[in-house]
Amino acid sequence: MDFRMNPGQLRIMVTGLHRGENPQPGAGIVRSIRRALPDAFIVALVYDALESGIYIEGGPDAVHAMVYPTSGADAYLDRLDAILHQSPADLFIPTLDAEIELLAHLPGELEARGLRFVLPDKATLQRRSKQHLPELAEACGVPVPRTIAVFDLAGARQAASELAFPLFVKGQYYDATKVENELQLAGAVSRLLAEWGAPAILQQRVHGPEFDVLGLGDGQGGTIGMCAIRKTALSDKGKGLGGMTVSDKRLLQICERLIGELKWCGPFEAEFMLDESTGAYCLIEINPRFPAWIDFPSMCGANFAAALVDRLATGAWPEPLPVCPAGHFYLRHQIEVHGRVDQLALLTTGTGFGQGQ
Amino acid sequence: MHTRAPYTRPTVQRLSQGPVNPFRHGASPACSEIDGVTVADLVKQHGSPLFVYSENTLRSLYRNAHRAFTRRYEDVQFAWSYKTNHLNAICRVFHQEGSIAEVVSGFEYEKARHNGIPGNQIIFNGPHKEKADLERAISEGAMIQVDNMDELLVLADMAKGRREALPIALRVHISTGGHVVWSKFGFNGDDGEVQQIIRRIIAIPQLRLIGLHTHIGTFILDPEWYQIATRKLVGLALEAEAMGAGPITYLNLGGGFASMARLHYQYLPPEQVTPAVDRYAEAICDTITGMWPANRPLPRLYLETGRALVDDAGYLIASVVAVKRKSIHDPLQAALVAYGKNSAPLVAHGSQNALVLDAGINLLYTTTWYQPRIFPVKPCLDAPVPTTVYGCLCMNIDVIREEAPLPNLNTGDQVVIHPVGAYNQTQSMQFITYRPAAVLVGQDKRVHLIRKRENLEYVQGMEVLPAHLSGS
Amino acid sequence: MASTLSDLMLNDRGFAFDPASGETFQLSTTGLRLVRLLQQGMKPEEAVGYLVGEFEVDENTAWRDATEFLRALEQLGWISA
Repeated sequence: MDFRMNPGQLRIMVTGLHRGENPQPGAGIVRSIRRALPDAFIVALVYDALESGIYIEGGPDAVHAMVYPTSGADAYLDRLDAILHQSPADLFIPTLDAEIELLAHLPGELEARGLRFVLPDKATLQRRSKQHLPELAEACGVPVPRTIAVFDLAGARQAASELAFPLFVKGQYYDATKVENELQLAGAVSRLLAEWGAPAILQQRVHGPEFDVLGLGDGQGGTIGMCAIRKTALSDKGKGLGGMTVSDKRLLQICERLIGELKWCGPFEAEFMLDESTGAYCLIEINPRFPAWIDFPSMCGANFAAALVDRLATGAWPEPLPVCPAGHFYLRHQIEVHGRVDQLALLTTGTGFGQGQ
Repeated sequence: MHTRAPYTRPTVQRLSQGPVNPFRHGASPACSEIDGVTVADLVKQHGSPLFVYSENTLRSLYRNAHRAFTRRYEDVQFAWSYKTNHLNAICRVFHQEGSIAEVVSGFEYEKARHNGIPGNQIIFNGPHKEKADLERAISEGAMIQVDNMDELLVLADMAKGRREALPIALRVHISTGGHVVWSKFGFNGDDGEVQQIIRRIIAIPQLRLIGLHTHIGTFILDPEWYQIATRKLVGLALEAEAMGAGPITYLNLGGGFASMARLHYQYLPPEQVTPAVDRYAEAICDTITGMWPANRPLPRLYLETGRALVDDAGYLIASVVAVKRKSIHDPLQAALVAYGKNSAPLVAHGSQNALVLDAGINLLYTTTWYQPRIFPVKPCLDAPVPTTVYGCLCMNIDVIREEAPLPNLNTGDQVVIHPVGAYNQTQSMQFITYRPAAVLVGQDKRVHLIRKRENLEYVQGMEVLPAHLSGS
Repeated sequence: MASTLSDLMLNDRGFAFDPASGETFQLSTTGLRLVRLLQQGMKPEEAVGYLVGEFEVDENTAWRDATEFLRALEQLGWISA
């Protein structure tokens, strides 16, 4: 890759390093970057000193505890300033939906701090939100499961009677639970409202296999690359534990229509189900970030995270990424990482470790 | 003698109890002054608790909102919603800025008249209007927004024998597809009820329909709902004219714009969620101008926005009277309890900081729906931790915030609760003690007492003792 | 099984590690001061005296807070009742 800067000097800030039951993309992004740029200086912003990706081999060079995005822009930027003072950075790759919701409001503030990033604008972010997804899907001619946003338990009961059990209850940003009856519905809706705020999203259940597409939008309506997988193993919570690359033109064309309509710029993940009853791909959600399996395509020759870094560093998108051929698969493999109590102490007491380059 | 270091309480926190991150709630910003007047001075002069209003903020919120509408629409008139805050000083600030009055009862009507507002500059709204109040309103030319059929018939009766037909407006409830329809108020604008009522009005010669009013709800975070409501209201107005009702000269879009408050189930902070008033203005004004026949003057646009103009200007200063530890519970159970504020038995999962303040939810009724921010007055030395903030009432439900991020505070420390300018003053109730004073910090930083602290004489002034109980 | 107070591993910013139980803790500034004074073998009442001398706190408040703190240390098994 052709970086105009000395790649050794690139300082890249990444978030979302935990890979527990509900893995985040950050640690995968770090691994992908390391494949292309072993000497990049990586600064991790973490929300918990026990995020497992802090402690992986080849992990981040500096780690700092970050304020929750829900604390508001002022608190977030204050803390960011303190961190940048200790560990200056050039590029910023936020990876969590809640961060992106906040940062989409703050592009000017991030630019003023000399950070380079790609973020969707507020309106685009809103158009792909779970609430507004049906309108977007209709505009692109893609079926979606029936979806109703609810603001309280009464609304949830009403909506459930229209959708029929079983159905999915989803938070605005995270979390999805399958519920079979009114009791489970009440539990799930209360928990989601308390954790992720209103509305909670009720979605009709579609039967069929799950597909997932990750990619990079170029902001002009095109893509720099996409990688489509069929989820081959699911955890009890419906999280993908494995995936097989597929090449189905129909699926990629749907994504091209969606990304073209949104003129999406930057990372995305589009989730689908192949509806057994109709044989059509049904759009479940579009996430404004890479998925947790981001490092898998880089092992098939398409390093999306490195392409994003290239764009951030040079201002121009690199050549389109090669297509991941069908027939590669990933499995999620759990291993132990090693940390020491003194590292924990540094993060816990607000010092952070690794400092600046 | 050496100087002593600032004190915080000795604490030990097990790090497995929640995420390990001292910054997760940010630094806790302090609020040591309001509009340039220190909280310490305010408390010294007027005691604690104390409601404080910023005249500066009141005026700038008004001007900002008014500008947002007048930039897009020529004939805009704001009407101050007395129920949102009826302190005369507050009302008069808005009247000085150019607001007329919007009242929903005879009491508020009297108050508006007392504040020098002529009857013909009062919008009379609400589901219950006493006959005597309606008679006064009619004789003084107030703008009556008819809520129901019974009221319409009473007005028809009252208008008999008038030389000119009595001008009225209808309140309409409209579905926007997004929110719960406030069907308690007015006539149904979606199922033909309004048209039926309009036909009825046309048949009553002593009544003349000149306006339509809707108020879709409160704290509406999606301006698009106003676009839908306005589209429907304008559609109804044009339909009424086509039916022969005569010209519709005004549309009243009510209020409901959000302030910088935060709902209980609001994940993102207000600065990310609360739309700029310009977005509401755009949704409403552009819809009317886009639909109204080009050859006719646009109808006057009335707005009754209350919360968005006063909430952020109001603060409550309170003092910590006790510090405690509180057992914390399973999040699901706690969520269910938060729903009904009931008292189901909960299993403890650890403990967290708790405080008792000298003000209770009797002064902060809006904490039922909103979570105000609670600022320490002194700059904080330690990281904020989730803290339960209790009020001073002898009731278990008296919880101002279940979990406010606060540093360790000490007895005697003050806190500032914000925003609390909307509805708290008007919905507060006297319970077990006197309600606090309210002050207005003027634009010149002078502090004006605008409501005195209550006393025994005030509280029992309306009581009457039967003779057999009056002896000493 | 918890460690005794003298076995606790502390850093200057109040991070505490109990090597016997494997648990980690955060002490506030005054909490750290009290633990260090108690580690030196000081009696609680003496330690509270230091607190009043070193920090802007009156004796009543210091006693109330220290009592609660000592109760927490007991519950953790670091000191005996």
